[in-house]
Amino acid sequence: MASRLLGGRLSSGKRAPCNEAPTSTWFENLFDAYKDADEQIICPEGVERLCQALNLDPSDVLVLVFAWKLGAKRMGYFLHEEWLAGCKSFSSAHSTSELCNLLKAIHDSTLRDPSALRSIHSFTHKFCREDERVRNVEISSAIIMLQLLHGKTFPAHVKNLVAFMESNAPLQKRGVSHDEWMMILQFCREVEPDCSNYQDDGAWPVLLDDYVEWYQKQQKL
Amino acid sequence: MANQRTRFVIQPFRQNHQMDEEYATTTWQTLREAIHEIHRQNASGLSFEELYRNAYNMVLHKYGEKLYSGLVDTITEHLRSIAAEIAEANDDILFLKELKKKWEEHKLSSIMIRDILMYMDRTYVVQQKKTPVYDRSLQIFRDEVCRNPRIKDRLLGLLLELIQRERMGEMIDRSLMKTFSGMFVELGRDVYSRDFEAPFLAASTTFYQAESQEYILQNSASDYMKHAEVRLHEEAERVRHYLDSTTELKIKEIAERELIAKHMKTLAEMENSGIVTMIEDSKIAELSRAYGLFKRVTQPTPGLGIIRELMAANVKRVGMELVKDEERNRDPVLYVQGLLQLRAKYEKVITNAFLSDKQFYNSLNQAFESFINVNQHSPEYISLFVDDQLRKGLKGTSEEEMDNILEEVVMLFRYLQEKDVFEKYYKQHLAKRLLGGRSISDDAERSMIAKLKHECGYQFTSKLEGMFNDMKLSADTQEGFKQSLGGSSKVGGIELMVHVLTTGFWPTQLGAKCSLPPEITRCCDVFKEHYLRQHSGRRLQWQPNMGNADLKAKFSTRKHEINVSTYQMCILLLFNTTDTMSYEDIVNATSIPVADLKRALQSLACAKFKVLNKEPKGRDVDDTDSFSFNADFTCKQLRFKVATVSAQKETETEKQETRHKVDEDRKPQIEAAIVRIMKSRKEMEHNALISEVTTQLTARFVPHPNFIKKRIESLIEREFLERDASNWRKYKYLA
Repeated sequence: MASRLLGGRLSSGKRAPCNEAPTSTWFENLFDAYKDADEQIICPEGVERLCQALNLDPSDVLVLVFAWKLGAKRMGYFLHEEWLAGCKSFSSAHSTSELCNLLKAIHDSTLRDPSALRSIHSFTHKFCREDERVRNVEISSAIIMLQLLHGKTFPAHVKNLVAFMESNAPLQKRGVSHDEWMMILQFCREVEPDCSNYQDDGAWPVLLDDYVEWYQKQQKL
Repeated sequence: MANQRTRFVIQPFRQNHQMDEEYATTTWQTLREAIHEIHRQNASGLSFEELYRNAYNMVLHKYGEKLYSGLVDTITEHLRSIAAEIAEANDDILFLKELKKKWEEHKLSSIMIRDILMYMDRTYVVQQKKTPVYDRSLQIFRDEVCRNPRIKDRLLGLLLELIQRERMGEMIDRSLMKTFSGMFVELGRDVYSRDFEAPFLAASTTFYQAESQEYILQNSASDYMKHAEVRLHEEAERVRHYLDSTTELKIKEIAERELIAKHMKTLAEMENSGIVTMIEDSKIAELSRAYGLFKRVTQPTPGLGIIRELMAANVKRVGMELVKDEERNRDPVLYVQGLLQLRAKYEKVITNAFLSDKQFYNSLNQAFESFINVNQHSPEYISLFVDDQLRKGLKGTSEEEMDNILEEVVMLFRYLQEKDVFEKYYKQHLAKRLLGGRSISDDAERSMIAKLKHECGYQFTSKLEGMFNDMKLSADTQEGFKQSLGGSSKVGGIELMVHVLTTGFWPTQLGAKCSLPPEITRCCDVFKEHYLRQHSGRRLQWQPNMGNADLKAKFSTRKHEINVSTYQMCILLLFNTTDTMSYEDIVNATSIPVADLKRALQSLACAKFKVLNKEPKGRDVDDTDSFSFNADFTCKQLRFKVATVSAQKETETEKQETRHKVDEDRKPQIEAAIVRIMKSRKEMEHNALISEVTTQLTARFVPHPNFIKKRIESLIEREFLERDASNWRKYKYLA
């Protein structure tokens, strides 16, 4: 959906059929400008330079959107094949400012589209895992990502959830599972900020049961 | 041919003589006279044949109408005078007797008259659809006598008064009563029910209403119920003796309603004598009566329901007190005995007083289930009770009695929700019995296991049975070991007995280690070598916390044989080389876990047999204490056993450990259940899954929904399940 919207806005420019090879050689070449000297990969240092060029803070949500669109597997690294696969999304960009605007547009439309939001939310969990074999995301990353992704959309929930996560010692140890992470988004969307319509019908993960209990206790204090 | 035959025709006799009006009147006069005679009870001079013929002639000659209406008039006239005559009687009894006499006479007369007029009944009455003579005659009696304004109310009043007097205990003339109720019935069902039954029932209602209210205020519940029972019986008798049988149900209903249904609550809850008290005092006869009475009531609330609820509430209250009783909580045997007695008491009541009513048993079971699980020590205590029974085995108890006790205990076991916790404890206690050789009877042990198996299935007891098997194999191994050493199991002068326990069957404590004395270690090595030669690839791990040893000790006065635990042995052997040791030295030399070491030292230095001296003296062992060999120790027995000081019950940490172990054991069981269910259902809503899992597991324990939820989350994590994309409350099975 994102690309369709973009296509509409940029209809004056060259429009390529979706399944054809990407046409933005500018974007393809961008990879070479930041890649590691020896390997076909952009390392954290390269990512940092890229961010500078785009005039973005590395912790900006747009960087996350960029990584999502490229389907990056590991934080701070972009593989060449990831870059090429992502070309399609960014075919209309021919300069850093165009790329930056494009990212903004994608981000805006993502917030409006539930399935896209789910997709980037789910992506974030995988993206943040320290290691392929570790299934849970550390609380510190989870908190950052939560604020980054949903801080503006669900300010009340995010603020409380973050406070809850920070105060919960066992959670610090084990981290957040993918299911829990996905249900957090579901929770933010379904449940009122004051948790008044939270139904203890059981299917929420225990983490969220605990959260609501914690929240209600906080309110009483 | 036919014509030839009918040539001679014999004409039938034809009476040309037609009866004229006048003749008819004279004939009727004759008949009327005769009827009068009959009414006067003076029928002996009459010729039946003649009268019959007269009536026949009248009907035959179409004077049926005259005859019928004349008859009605004659009877009416006669009964009017009779009614007046009866009503004249001043005396009530006379009145009744007179009425009775007249009724009986009238019936008799009516039969005679019917017989004379039989031809009319068969032809005229049938053709004209009139009422037959006898019935009409009774109708006239009904209208002229029974419903005579001067008779009707007086009669009813007198009858009701008689019944009332009988209810108050007087003897009355029952035959008189029977005549009248019979009279009403003969005069017609509606006459009986309208003129007698309805007022009778109304009067009974008022009577029992008033009586029951008064009686219940002045008497105890048991007296009241006795009375009510008598009353109900009386009413049944009354109907049998002199009322129509159709009344039975109706009067029964009234009496039951007024005497029981309306007072059930009051009776049940009556202080000091109500049903609650009866149950508490096991008043079998009275409860049996209450059961019989209350059972009669089904509307609006079933009477038995009231008793049942009361009983359940009572059991619950008593049971709740019992499980919370501090004294009993200190002594598990007392605790379980209390439960058994409680159950036996109520069981006796149900069997003897409540006809073994199934619903009562159900209520009893539910009540027990509710309070027994309130105390989370129940599984442990029940296992301890069995332990106690199987250890010392009540002296003088026969096998059968033993079996009964175990049967009863299993009944309690059935109430437990956390059967797996019981299993844990049972395993621990059984292990101690088997290894210590304390079990009194192998048969009793096996019978208990068989009972548990019957209750919970093979899986539940497989490990317990494994333990027995290990014991048997160990005996064989021991024999083999002895053979290999040339007929004696002594190694360096020390006789070694080894039980080889399969890991997983026994409640082995991991990390229960200590450094054994060198001479013992040597024994162990010899055995190990022997054992591994036969079973290569196995691993032997010594469990010093489960063993025991016989030591010979020389004190200043005499020698003794002491039976001690392995830990205690390690400590005592240290004193072979030195006389005094500090606590710290002992810790370093034996490396026995602190809690166990303290307990062992306490039993050696502070309990009944003070083989060691502790400095400073005191009941508890401190880290700074020192111990020395007590050479002046004396004891009457040559052989004695130093029991390890330990509360029979577990310590707090042990308890938590057991709890934790139980929880860990439950995880795979819950997961297995979830996977089993999901595999067959493919997809399921959260709540349905939770309830299904709970049902499947109740036989062993009742898992908390949150506990199940965590397992579901874990299974999602491990990709056995996933949430449905469109409905996150639904799970899907991932093959």
